[in-house]
Amino acid sequence: MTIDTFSSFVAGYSVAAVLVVVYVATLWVRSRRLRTRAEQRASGLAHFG
Amino acid sequence: MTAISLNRPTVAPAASAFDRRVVDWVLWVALASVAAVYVRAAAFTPLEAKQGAVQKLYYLHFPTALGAYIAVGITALGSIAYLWLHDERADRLAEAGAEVAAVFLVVVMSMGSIWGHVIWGTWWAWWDPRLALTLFLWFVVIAYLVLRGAIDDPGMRGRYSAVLGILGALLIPFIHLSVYFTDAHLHPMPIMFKPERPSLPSEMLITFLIAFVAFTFLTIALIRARYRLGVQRDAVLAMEEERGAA
Repeated sequence: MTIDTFSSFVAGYSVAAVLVVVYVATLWVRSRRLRTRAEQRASGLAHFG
Repeated sequence: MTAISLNRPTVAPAASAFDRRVVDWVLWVALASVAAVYVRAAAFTPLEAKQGAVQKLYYLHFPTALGAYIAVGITALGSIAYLWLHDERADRLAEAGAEVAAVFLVVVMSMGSIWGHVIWGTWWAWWDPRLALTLFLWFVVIAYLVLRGAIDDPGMRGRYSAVLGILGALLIPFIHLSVYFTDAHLHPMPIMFKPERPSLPSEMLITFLIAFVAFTFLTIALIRARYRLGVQRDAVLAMEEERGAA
């Protein structure tokens, strides 16, 4: 007998997709912040900030 | 993209660190290949007779677990290389592997819980050795990352965390072989990695192999991206130290 498990299948695939996409987003955000920090330091704004 | 203008040649490494994007085409291709696995598994792979649709979690669950093992293995290799060569690139690679392993292990355990809730009737069982050891590996990886965050001195940070990174990898064979240690386990005996031929029908086997390639690619792409982030962070820190010393 086949168990009705479609919702669990969708939930599992969704959880995996969300976690990976969120992690990629954190990589992108952290890189952007570092870039901004580097620009601030390079322009000397950090000495006044 | 905004270019960084640097008025001092001594901080040039920071600019070159940002020449290489963290999220670039390699990562996009890896994500697209995983999306293709989703389509293949959902629409072009037959249902398993007893479990139904939830069995399709296998095509993500197991390749993600293997991706986590690869990431932990890269952490261990980077750690060994760092202890041997004292090269900060090896330390950075080990750090990148650990972070990706932490994420993948969360994916593995989340999907496994959803699958287990349907098939085993429980989200979690402490007495299942593979579940407990996988959680223990995740704790070791988290401890590795926390330890790195707690130590300021780069040399000490690299040495101490390298030891933990190597110890974490030693858990992997125990996790894989844990079903042989005791009869009390929920996980099935190995289907793919065993002395005999894989016991999957050909269509399912092909889907698994495609998923394995895609998730291995994603693992490497994410570690590569995280490594580049580490390069950028170190460049900015070096720049700030230089400015502070000036």
